[in-house]
Amino acid sequence: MGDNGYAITTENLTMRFGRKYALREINARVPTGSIYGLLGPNGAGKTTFVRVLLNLIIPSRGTAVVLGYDVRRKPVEIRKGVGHVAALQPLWEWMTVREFAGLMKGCYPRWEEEPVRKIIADMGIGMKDKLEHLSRGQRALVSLAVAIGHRPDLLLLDEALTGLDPIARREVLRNIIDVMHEEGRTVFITGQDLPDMERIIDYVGFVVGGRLIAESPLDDLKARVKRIRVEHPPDARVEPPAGARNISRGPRETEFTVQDYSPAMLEAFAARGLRAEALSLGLEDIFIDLAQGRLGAEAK
Amino acid sequence: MGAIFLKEWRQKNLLFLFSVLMTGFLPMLYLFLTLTVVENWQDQRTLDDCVGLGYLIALFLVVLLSGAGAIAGERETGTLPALLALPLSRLEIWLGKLLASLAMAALGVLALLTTALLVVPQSISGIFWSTIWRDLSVLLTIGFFLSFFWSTVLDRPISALLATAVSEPALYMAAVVFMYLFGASLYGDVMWDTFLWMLAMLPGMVLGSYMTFSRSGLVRGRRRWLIALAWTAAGTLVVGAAIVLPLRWSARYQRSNIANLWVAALPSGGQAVVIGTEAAPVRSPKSNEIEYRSEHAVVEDLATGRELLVRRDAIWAAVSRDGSTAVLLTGSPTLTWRSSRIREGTPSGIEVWDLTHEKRIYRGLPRQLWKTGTYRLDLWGTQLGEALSPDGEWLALAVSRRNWESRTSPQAIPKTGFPPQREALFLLRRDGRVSREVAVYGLPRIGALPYAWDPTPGRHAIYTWGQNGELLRHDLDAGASEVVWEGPLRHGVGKEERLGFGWILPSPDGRVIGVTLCSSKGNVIHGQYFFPDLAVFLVPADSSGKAVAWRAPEHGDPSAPRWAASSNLAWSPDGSAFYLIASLQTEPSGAKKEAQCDTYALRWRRGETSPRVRNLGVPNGGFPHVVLESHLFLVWVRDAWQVLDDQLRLQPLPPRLRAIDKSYIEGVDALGRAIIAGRNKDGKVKHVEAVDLRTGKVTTVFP
Repeated sequence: MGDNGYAITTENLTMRFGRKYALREINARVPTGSIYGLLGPNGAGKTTFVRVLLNLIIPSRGTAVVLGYDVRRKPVEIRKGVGHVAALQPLWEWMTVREFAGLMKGCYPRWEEEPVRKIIADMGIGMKDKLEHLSRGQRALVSLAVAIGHRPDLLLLDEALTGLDPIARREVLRNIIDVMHEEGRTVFITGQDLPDMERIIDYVGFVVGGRLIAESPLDDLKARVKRIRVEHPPDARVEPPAGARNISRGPRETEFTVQDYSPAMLEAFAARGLRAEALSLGLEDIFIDLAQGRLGAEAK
Repeated sequence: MGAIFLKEWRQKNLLFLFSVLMTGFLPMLYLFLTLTVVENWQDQRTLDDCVGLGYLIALFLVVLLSGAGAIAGERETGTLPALLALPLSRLEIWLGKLLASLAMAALGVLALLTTALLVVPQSISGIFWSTIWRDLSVLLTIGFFLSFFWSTVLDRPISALLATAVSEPALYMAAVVFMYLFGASLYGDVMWDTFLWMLAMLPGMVLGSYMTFSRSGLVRGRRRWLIALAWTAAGTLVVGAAIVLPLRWSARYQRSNIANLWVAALPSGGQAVVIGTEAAPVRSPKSNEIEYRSEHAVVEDLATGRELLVRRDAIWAAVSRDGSTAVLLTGSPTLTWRSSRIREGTPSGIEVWDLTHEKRIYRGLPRQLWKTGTYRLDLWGTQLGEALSPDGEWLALAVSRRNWESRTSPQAIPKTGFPPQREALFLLRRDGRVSREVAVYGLPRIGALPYAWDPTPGRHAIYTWGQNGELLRHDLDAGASEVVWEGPLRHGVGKEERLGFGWILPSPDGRVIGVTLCSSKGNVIHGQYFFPDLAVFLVPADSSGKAVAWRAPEHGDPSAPRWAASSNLAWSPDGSAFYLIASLQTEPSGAKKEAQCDTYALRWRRGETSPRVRNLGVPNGGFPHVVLESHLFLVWVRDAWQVLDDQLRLQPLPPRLRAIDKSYIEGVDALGRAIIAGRNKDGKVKHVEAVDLRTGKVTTVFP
């Protein structure tokens, strides 16, 4: 379910705590069936954004629609269709895994016990184990397993992969995220581990200082944002095209980043007898440039 | 919601465990101490009480902990977001927590009480046979909801617990102060009324808790506090208004219990009727004393039907002659732990109201009238119509010294005895800032006025009798007293040790004072007090000239003592004539029903040496009411009403009054209407009519 093909849409979504803005006029679109990564530094507003979507906090201004429901009007309906995991979220330590699953089962109208048991068993966790006796990673895995028990249409993972070892992470990806994606359900992940995120997501949003500064399919972003390196004689000066940022000049080469790369750029330099090449940037490089304000809204 | 309830239930197992431990620990402690420390039955009794107290403390702990950890516990452990992220409405989550906490508290109380009854039955069982169980139930209930409320607002269970421990007694005191200030006593019992008002705050607390939980969510700090306090205040105000407004309306309904009516005139030409509602006097089974308890005092303008003043828990009320001021003696609870139940007319407060502006001028109780003060108020001695000076500036209350023991109510007065002698008048200026105390002497008799106000405009003075029978005037503004008349001893009336002080009534212009005197030792005949040697004097107020005297004429056997009963004195509005109704009896025999008895109407014009006396020719004394504007008298003679003009000539009686018993007429107002109150078999006023003495027109006043 979604709104015009989007699992999540926000319009000028703003959240203010006193004088401090946690979110500023965020206009986000999360396509249904995508794996959307919301990236940003600490304190950027990622967790606040997730909490607004779940109606844990009420936005100061703007609207947010999740699975076709307005967060202000139908929060319970939203939560019925959403699975939520926050890796840093404390749980009821005194509960056993079975009791925790039982609580979730009692709250959701539809529940499938078997996938939950299988995932937990595959991780070597016993149903009678108390949550307080599990490691942080194990607790995160239990939370993940329980989060999909009611077959959510949208899975919200807030720093959920943080703290997982590579094996656990692979398990999560294979058993949960991939399955969700294959079934056309949407996964929304927040995090800071960009190399990992780059392997998972197909949509990306960058949030810095409460603002969504970029949002795009990942492949498109990587295709458009390139680093151009031009080799030239020592006394020559190469002028980058308009809109280029992060210009670095050396004695024999000049580098700069463009947001709207096309092969014609390289051809133009070649026509002048200069050798130029386009370097792909990793998500981390793109993010750093965005975060430092060197790439503007044109990257969107 | 069921999932939340089960989760809470499972989580609070620890609390139940605590209850179980206490139920096991205390008996073991009790047994141990019994075997090792107790040496005699007194020690055993003390131990029983201590263990019983331990159980009571445990009760409160279990209840408060159940509520305090409900939501604050989730905040403290950080699990609140996980809870709020569940597909449940805030109401379901909140209600699940409330019900689970309540159930756990109830179970804990049950377990503790059951064990306590088994272990220390003597100490605990007494709770159920007294009002303690009521008080305990209310305190525990309020404690639980308070702790739940604080759990919603605060971040830690321990904070909620401490906040409850502080706020519950604070709420109690706030309720007491509220009742004291506004007289909002529902049952006249400080403890129970306070609990009721605290319980009235519960809906506000519950609403505040829910709204805080549903609206603040993960919000911290000031905003959560604002939401909590705003909704709690709103809820409390709504419930409070829902209680108070119907009560105010029910004041009219409560008039079905009207026992007394007093009539005064309002400057507008209407009239004020002070309606004192009293429960029927009951005899206390414990003390065998008569108790009275008033529920309302209402001052109403009969002309418009508008209530000028409604006051609950007022045991006595009066209005000044000019209708500008009302005074109430209230049974409002004082800030003590004692009951406010009124006994023998001892009030807890005085209130003075400006009826013109409908505002209270004074409220309090002078220290001399405190329960530990010098005086005790004598309601029976405080004359309703004369308690206030004509302009309402001063209030006169009859008081007796506190160490004087013998007190009886009028109903208990033996036929040959007298009501207790009053010792003083306590005079209070209406703003409460100045008070005077004036000794009063006089033979106590029912209906006799031992004092009278000087009606001279601008003067605040009061007339009383002195110890030697002299007539005194006390200037309240100057604080000085003077002898106006040296009294009856010099005029050969009465013997020295049996002085008969009677009525005092100054003329409207204050220049002449009418007094009645007779010897002591009265007797009750046909329901009236008769005294020998009745004499009437007109005394110049400025002490110039001689007082003019008239003695009751001989009647029947000249050798027999002359007994006379005198009733209301009255002056004509212009002060030109003085009126009195006197019944003369030749033989003070209660056995004879048809004794020789004549009723006289006396009219004495100033300047005349003797009054004009008209024998009305019928037995039994009358009770004249002087209509100030129409110069008509309404007189009860021989089981019937008569209307006389100022020439003492009979006038046509309005048809409505022909079949009305004397007890039904409550007074005559400034508009010349007789106020008739119909009573039921219990003596309560059920309806009120006003009959115009000139035209005979009947107006229904109430209901």
